[in-house]
Amino acid sequence: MSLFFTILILLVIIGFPFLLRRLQLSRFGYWLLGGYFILLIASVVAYTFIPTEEFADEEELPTEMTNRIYLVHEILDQGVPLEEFEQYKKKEWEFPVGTEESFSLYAGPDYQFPVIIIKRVEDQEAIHVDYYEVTPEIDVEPVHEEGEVTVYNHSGELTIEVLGYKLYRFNSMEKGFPFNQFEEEEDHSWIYYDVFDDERMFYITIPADIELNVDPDMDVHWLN
Amino acid sequence: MSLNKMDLSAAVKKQLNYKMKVYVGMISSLVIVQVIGIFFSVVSPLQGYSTMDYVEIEYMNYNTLNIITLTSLWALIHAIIMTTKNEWENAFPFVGNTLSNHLANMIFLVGASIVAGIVTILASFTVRVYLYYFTDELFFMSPGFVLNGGDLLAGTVTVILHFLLLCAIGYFLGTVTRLHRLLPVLLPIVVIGLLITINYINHDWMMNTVEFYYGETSMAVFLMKIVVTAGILFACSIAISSRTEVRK
Repeated sequence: MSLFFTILILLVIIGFPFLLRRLQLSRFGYWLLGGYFILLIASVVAYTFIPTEEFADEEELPTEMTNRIYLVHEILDQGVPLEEFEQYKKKEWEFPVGTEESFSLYAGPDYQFPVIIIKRVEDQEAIHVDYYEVTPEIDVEPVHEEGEVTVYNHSGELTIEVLGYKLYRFNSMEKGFPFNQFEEEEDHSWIYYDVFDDERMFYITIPADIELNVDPDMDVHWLN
Repeated sequence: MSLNKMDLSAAVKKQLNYKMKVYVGMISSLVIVQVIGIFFSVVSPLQGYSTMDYVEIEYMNYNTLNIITLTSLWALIHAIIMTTKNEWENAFPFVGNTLSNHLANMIFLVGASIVAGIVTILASFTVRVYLYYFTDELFFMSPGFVLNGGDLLAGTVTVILHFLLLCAIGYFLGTVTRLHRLLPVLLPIVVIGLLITINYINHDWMMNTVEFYYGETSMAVFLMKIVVTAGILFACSIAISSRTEVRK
């Protein structure tokens, strides 16, 4: 295909002037250029009406790209109390302990590894599982969204299921050569991904005297 | 008036006028190539896909490299065509000599590079305008969409010099092929063979050469590098041609 395209382009570049000369249409060349030039000038005029503030400034990225909250980092590294992130709590479950002395924590077959924080709490009679989700604060809506988050207990086996996915589609325009010949064009794609990514976290509190065996594949952080 | 007494600048001017008429097809082909470039810039963006735990991203990255690539090809090929025997012979029903013919060709190529550079820069606006007004594409925080005055100045200077360099290379290669009748066939093989051999001996050579010109971050130095290189190539073309031409 690319070979065909290359040959086609070569034919246009070489053959077109000869064809025009043969058909005695060469004199239209400058008229063609004039018409094309008018079209280009019209494009420039139309371009000036595009509100440039819709596009991120390269030197000053929007706050939603730089001021994201990273729950796990805030809780584990910064020691911020969980209560401050109440607005991000989406679901909660409670599983009475009863006579069980130990529980196991498993992931469902299509589990997608959110971070799990576990804390032992004195004088607690049940296992509490809270689910937190930080979604991006951007104007872009996902073109596809499905998601199911469930936790269930089956005979002392706690299973976490996180299913589904979100699909975003977006476009970007590269300045590229020759506009960036004398400056380094920054690649912001990593920030884009960061902005689109959801952060999901389970916060599990268990009675202090309960033993909880965790599937080693899960990303678990014990607070105490 | 005798040819010998004809002023060089007057001869160049006359030949340039002639060339502007005879090479008008080159201008038409520039417009066609540009339109094809705009079309491919709009319909064939670079596509990417990225996935994180729960989030999948499909993105399309538009650029105007197609326009520049095709116009570069146009510049190189037309500079070669200008040195073909037929074109060369056609220039001599008029007053002038080899030097005036070369000078007229070079001035024409400089002018063609300037025109090609300006329309290439303006075409990048056409692509942006089409994508913004005539498609429902979502441009998410795309700083590259915005072109300011500095970008335009840098872009215009760069692309004109880029086309000038390609014209000079094409003109030089075209002139070299006139050294021997087999060279039009052999030269591409020799050039490609040489490039492969040099690259085999020194892997970084090609990269370093490209970097020497296109890695330059100072406009003045970039301008100097291209103008000096183009000047050397044109001078070599004149020198080679003077050894092969009967008509002085």
